[in-house]
Amino acid sequence: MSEQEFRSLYDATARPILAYLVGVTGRKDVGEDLLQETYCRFLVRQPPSMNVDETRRYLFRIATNLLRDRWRRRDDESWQEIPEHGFSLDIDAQIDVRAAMGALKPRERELLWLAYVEGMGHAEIAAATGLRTISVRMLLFRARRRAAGLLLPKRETV
Amino acid sequence: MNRIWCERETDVVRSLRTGLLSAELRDHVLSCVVCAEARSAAQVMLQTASLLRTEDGVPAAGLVWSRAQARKRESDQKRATRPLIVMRVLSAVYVVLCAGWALHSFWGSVSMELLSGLNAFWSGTVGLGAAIALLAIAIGAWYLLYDGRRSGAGIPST
Repeated sequence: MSEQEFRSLYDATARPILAYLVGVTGRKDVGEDLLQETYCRFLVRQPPSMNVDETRRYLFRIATNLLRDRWRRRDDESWQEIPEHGFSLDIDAQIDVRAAMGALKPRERELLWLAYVEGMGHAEIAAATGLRTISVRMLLFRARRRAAGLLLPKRETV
Repeated sequence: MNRIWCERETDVVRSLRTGLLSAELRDHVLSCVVCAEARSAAQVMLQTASLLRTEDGVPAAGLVWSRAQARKRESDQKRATRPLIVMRVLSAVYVVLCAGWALHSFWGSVSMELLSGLNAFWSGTVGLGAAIALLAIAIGAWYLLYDGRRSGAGIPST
């Protein structure tokens, strides 16, 4: 891959991957480090030619594996360090985003992000995470239920 | 039995992104537990995504490219020096085996007749040849190990 080809690929894919990494870890510095590592691994491995969607999924797969490596080392399991000024309660739903994200497990954040922010289907999530489609469906169901459950007490007290 | 997914889930999440929730879809959300949970969970994720504005934070493509190239060179050098590392290990193993064989022969000679056995061993052609080979291998192995340690196992750090 030439530098020019890489630049156009990077411009097209880096932002959503960085958002995913920051969204799942809750840390911008970690997200940026992992983003660079994701593309380094991609370039060093030189995967066979893929179309844009396959490349995108492949990059998400590398990013997800890097996140898992961090959690396996227990570097940072908690969701943290998002600037305080960026957080506020949603007036309609009374959602404290920080609390809800912090209460979710890393894998739950991963799956929910891919499904609802990236808009990936179950098969795409499976390709991006290395899980089986049936497992994605089940894990996503649990994550969704948990996330929704975190909001219920607040709603009831409103 | 609880359903774990609904075919309208994608539409519900899309409605959150666009802000367009039709009356029919609203009715569906009210009657479908899966979609109601998906809506709540997606709200958390989308709100987080909107708070984590990362447009300006993407590292420069050139920086990532340079880092990947450096990593690639390092990886190529590692691959190129791998045979040398294997040779070093084999040399060390060979030295140990030769030393074991020499000790075994020596011990055999001693057990038969201490002094005459020693003379027979050292004066014999086989013993002399083995000693020279052992010496040559030991010098070679020592040089390889010394050279490897001096240059950091032949792999320059970046």
